[in-house]
Amino acid sequence: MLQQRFFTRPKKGAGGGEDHTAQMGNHPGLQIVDIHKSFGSKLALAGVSLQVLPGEILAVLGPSGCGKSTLLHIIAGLETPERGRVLWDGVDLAGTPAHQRGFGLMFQDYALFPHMNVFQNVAFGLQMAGLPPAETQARVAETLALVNLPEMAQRDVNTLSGGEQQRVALGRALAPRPRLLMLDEPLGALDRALRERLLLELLAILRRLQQTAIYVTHDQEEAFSLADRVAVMQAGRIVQSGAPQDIYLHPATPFVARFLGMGNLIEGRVNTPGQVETALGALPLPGAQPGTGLVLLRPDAAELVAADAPLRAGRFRLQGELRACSFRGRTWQAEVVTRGVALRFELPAAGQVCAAGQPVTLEIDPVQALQWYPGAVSPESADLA
Amino acid sequence: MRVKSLALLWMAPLGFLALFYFYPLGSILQLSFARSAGGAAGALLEALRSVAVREALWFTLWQAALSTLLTLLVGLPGAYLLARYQFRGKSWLMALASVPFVLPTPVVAAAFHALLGPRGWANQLLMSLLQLETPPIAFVNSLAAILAAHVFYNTTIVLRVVGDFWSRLDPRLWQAAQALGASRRQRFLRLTLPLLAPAIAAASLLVFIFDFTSFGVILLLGGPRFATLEVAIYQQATGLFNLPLAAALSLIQLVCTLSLTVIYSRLSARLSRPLSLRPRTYTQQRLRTWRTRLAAGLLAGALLVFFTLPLAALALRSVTSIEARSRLDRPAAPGLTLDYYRELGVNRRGSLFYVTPATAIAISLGYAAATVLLALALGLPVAWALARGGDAPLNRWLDPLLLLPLGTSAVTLGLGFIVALDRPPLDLRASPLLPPLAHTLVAFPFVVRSLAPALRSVRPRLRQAAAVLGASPWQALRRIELPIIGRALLVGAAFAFSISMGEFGATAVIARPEYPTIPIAIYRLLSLPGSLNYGQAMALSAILMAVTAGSILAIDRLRTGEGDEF
Amino acid sequence: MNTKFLFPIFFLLAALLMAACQPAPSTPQVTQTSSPQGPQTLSVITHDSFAVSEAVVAAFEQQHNARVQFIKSGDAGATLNKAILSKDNPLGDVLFGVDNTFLSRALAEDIFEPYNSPLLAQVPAEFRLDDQNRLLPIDYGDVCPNYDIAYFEDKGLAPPQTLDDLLEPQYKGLLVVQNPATSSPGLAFLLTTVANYGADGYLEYWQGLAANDVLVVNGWDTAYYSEFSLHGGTRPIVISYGSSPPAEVIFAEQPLETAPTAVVTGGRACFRQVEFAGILKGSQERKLAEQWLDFMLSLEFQQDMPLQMFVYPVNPQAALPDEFVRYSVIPQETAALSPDEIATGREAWLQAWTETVLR
Repeated sequence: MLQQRFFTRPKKGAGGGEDHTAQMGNHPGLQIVDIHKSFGSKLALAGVSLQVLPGEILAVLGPSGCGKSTLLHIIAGLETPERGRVLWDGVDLAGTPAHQRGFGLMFQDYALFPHMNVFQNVAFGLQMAGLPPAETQARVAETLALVNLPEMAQRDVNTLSGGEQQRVALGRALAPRPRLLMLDEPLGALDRALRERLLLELLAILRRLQQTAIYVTHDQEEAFSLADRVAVMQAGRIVQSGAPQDIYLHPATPFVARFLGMGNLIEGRVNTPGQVETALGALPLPGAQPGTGLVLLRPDAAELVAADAPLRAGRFRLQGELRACSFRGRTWQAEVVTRGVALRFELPAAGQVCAAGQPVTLEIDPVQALQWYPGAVSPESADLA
Repeated sequence: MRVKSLALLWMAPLGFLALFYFYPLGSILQLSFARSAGGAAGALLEALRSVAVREALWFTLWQAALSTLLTLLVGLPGAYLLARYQFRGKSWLMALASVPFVLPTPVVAAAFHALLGPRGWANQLLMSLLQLETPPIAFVNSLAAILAAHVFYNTTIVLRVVGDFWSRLDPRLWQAAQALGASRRQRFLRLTLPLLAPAIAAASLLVFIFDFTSFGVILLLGGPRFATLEVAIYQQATGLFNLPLAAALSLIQLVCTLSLTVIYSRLSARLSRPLSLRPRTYTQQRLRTWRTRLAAGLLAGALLVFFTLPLAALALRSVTSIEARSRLDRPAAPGLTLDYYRELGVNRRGSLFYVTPATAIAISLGYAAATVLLALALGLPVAWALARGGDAPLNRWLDPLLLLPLGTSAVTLGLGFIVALDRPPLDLRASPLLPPLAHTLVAFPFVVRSLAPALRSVRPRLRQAAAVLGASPWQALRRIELPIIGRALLVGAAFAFSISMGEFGATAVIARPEYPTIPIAIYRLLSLPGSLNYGQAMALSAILMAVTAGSILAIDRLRTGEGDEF
Repeated sequence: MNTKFLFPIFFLLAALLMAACQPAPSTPQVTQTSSPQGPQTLSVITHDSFAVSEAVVAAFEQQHNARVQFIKSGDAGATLNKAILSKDNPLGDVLFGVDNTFLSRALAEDIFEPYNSPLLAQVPAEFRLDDQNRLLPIDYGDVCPNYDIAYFEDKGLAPPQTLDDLLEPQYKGLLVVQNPATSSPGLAFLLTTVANYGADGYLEYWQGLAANDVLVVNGWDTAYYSEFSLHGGTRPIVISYGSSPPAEVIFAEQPLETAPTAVVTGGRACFRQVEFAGILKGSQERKLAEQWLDFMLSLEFQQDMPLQMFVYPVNPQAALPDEFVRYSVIPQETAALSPDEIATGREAWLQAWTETVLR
């Protein structure tokens, strides 16, 4: 199948002088440095830097409007940044127009050419690269098989289902074997079941091709399950970047925590080191230094215990009342009110009955459950909006 | 789009306009005002002080406004029918509707006379039915005749410009509105009108300018009691040799056109928005229920009658012998004859300027083909610049200039050609290139108006997708945008073709006598007494109609290639 | 659709523009550079209605080793206008088609060179309106009321004999005329009334015509082919040419014994239009231009004109075609108005006429 890696286009002109091998040692793959971009008075990107190594899949995760798509457009060469550089293998691409960059971009709305059939859509990039017709034919067939759309070559793209269109768009982006593939919310428009299935297929395809890729999404599950590395964006900046599990376990800012679904952020003040005063009372916080900040109480780190069970060493308890409960399969999503503060927890569902109005006792391991953001102010400021 | 590439796109079209429009126009205006004691200001003041001029200006404005409104009233239902439904004979209806647009005014006047004149078919029928002594319909030499002729001429503009745009609007929007509880009326007012507004504005502007500069219709059908500015310019320039006053009137006419186009440009910038257009196959339905069939049938029938009756009357006249009565063999009954057609092929007087109908057709088609190519070559870059550059200052300033040639008096510009293009390397005064150049000046804005909205509505995303897949801007234009706007390209081509085929006023002044177009050959026949001459003029008019309808049909068929559904 | 054709368009445009920048091979400029042995080109500017036999032009070309190129420039007014506007760099060598209504105006612009053609001696003095011979008379024609003979026979009505008759009640609603501001015969008829009733009386005559329900249309073809009863209209009297009756016979569908129309010639009801030709100042082909003017006055050309342009030759020795002899009448007396009077009065008469008749 697609054995040959990184089909190098016979492109001439601006940027044609890049010498991959000579620069390979320094900065292999994509490197972008301090990108700024604004539209009118609206700042879209405020100094974004990141790197994607060959064969790596980077997920850019962030709420809509944070600048993710703009970033992709700048890398693709469709937009020009006001400041900053985009480099491939150490070569600045500023003078290279989009069609000579050899990157692929799969648009959120697919942008299939409505006047061409499936075959013509997938073949387009190959024809632009000047591939002979016979080879184009073979490559399109190969690609359609890869995206699981055999026998569809002659179909009119306007008659395809959402999932089929997504595959055509993916096939079209993959067929020219771009040195970098960018996917802009590729599964956004699809229903949940289809999304999960396609996610696995997509991952398998990208892995098999060892495709260098940037995957932009607002869905943390997609990002975590697909990417080698995740960069979280907020308002035009990258606020955290790392392996998926690191980000999940240690959200670097209250924003990241909240974006990942961890909403229990409580204002606190450390007076004596190792202990924080909050509306919930004094909580143990090893290593914390005096000052104000926000405490994150991870929703998955609480355990429901009987009120009279003995307290285990190093842990603390919260007493409260269950206000609402919703069943999530393996867990309950529970809203607990403690001393007037509403907190959300994920409680194991096995053997438990969750009923609103019921008094509960929660036991929490501060080492696992608590994270301290010194200096951070009110939880509202970490709002996603 | 960068200013530099925008400027590059504008270069060739602007160069063309500068050379073949602004330079001749400027020369003739300058020369004319130089003959006035008070200079340009004096001539302008004289014009504005004159009651006759003020009356002509007022009449020109209101008859154009009224004609435009009526044209919209007739054209919009037709545009809806053609845009939303598929039915047999549609392309024929379309081709038929574009025939009037190309007919020279003497021919249209003859057609109306043949139908509604004092001894036209309609009056004869009524007189024999009702036993009347005098013709009951007094149509010619009236305002009604002017308005009807303007509607007859220009409805095709509305059908093409609005109809084409309408046909690609996504019908799901209407379904969504219906689901949201919008009634038919509300859907029309809240959805249809705002979405169509850019196309309606564009069509209205073109129609208005045509009516505003109307000349032949006013002279031949309106009669001497009506005078537009264009008529006044002609009278001042060629009848009274008052060149300064003619120049002043031309300037007033130009200022009106320019203000109009400036208003239009501002308006259209606000009205147009990117829409996701759909291929026709998804926007058009067949006529399923008997109700829609009946409604569509009535509408199509009404349009058909409106467009074909005068044409049919003309065609009928071309095969009917109404022999001038002589004292010996009277009364000669009208009979069917092909004599007029036969006579066209005979150079009875051995005249130097005689051409066979085939030659005239070939000359007309040659000029038309050159005009189509030239107008597309010039119009495409401009349409692209307008669509891609959006509201860039360059576009804002240059766009209104494009329509100026339409609003310029043909007499003035014709004289300008003689004055300005008189020295090598541009001594074009007797060049056979002059007619297509002049036709292009008129056709080019039509091409731009047809292409720009279509290009504007192609989602920018598609071009980006092509770029990322390795297509250069040129390749993206060729492979993505042009095929998608293929229809609009054909609309533009059809306009350019029709304009060239039917143009008479400018051609008469600049064409070489050895190379007469069909309209010129018709006019030559019409200017001689004798029923054989008149019959030949009718026969040649019928040939012009047939050639035009055939060509428009052929252009419409061109699109059967790959991706023909747009 | 196939868009490949777009590439050639741009090349074609480039080619067209380049071609446009080349001097056209037929412009007068070529004649300056042509060798004395090769054929020289003579450019003749004229109006739409000019016509000539192929054979006649060929004879001239052969005789003088020359090529004659005709440049038509719209109607007579537009043609003269063009010649005036291009006097610094004349469009051609000879202009044909200035009539006596435009004569003074053309002479005042000083665009013609005098030429005393020897053939002028044969032309009656009444036609030689320019004493310096800058403009030479070539042909003449009369604009008169024409009537539909059959109509009057059917009604048992006597056709009108004079202009005054047209005011009579029995001719009410029978006359169609052209707007003098837009039509050459229309202007001629207005001048006829001025000549007959004087500058202070013609408006009264027109008021009488208006009261007698005269119909005014803009063009000759509208009047003749749409309103004149002979060709499908309702008015049996129309302003047309004295040569219209023979034209009706010549262009009849079936051969006719007699003309279907006749002309009112009594009481100076006709206006005589004389057409002139002259050599344009700045002509590079003075000699050839003189030869052409001589040729236009020669019998060969003079005898060709009647059937080509339906005008009469100014050279009385020229034989008229049979149809002209049989079906046309040359009026004894025509409306008399000198070119100077016309040039001075024209605009005021037109304006007053418009006010009186159209409003």
